[in-house]
Amino acid sequence: MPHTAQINRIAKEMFEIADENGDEDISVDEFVAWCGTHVVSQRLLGSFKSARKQVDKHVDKRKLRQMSEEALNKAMKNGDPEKYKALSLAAQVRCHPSLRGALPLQWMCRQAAR
Amino acid sequence: MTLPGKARHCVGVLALSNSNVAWCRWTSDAVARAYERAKAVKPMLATTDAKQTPGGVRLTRREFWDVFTDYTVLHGDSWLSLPLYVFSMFDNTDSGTVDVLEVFLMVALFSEGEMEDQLRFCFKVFDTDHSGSITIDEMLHFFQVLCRASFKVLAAAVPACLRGT
Repeated sequence: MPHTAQINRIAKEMFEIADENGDEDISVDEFVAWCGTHVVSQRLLGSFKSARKQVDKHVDKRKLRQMSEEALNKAMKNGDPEKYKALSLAAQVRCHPSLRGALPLQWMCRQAAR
Repeated sequence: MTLPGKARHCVGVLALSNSNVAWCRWTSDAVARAYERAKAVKPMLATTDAKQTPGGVRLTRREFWDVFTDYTVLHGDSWLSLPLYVFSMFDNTDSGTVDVLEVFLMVALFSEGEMEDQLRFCFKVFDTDHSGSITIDEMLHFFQVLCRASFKVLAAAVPACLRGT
């Protein structure tokens, strides 16, 4: 789920696109035309994807790796095999070239930090 | 098991558009009638308060059943209704309530009928000041609801094993 700030930014951009006559309001016809091309055709989903990619760029991957390793060591010390297995799997998925990007980086960061 | 991004996207899109989703049985008229029932249950729904309420206008399980059961339409041998698993789909925090606009948006967008009618209904729902146009505030509200609803539906559509949990 994108952050509220991202949603608002995209909403403002989309508002400008939808407001064809520039009167700061969207009429029903403008709304139908805009939704038909952006929401229904899933261009909107593409906007969210690109917004998420931008956020992922700001993640400190070194710090994430370090956190992941710390979590793995902690799970191993505490003798928690289930957690260790889950963390190992997350690390493998993150490092595997074909699966890179299959899971959002931030989500995995949160899982590793738990 | 984890699928590459493209495959996961296909799973989500299929789940959204597939006819096995309960709301595909709903027509634009049925959705409009449900909206009138919702307004009777929650009068603030059609006012500007709807977008100012944190977490949105919420329905309990009982209210959900009352709003999304249409006793004027028979489907097979039962009334037209949204099954309670749809309630669970939108209540992803187990709060016992759902944001009624999230449900209406998804039901309206994926119901049977002309796309233009569905979009005009969405416009009516989010034009909370009844000015005949959508302002930037209403657009922000529409986007937030659309975002939350889409993510809940996609999350429910992709099995837990594919989400890596």
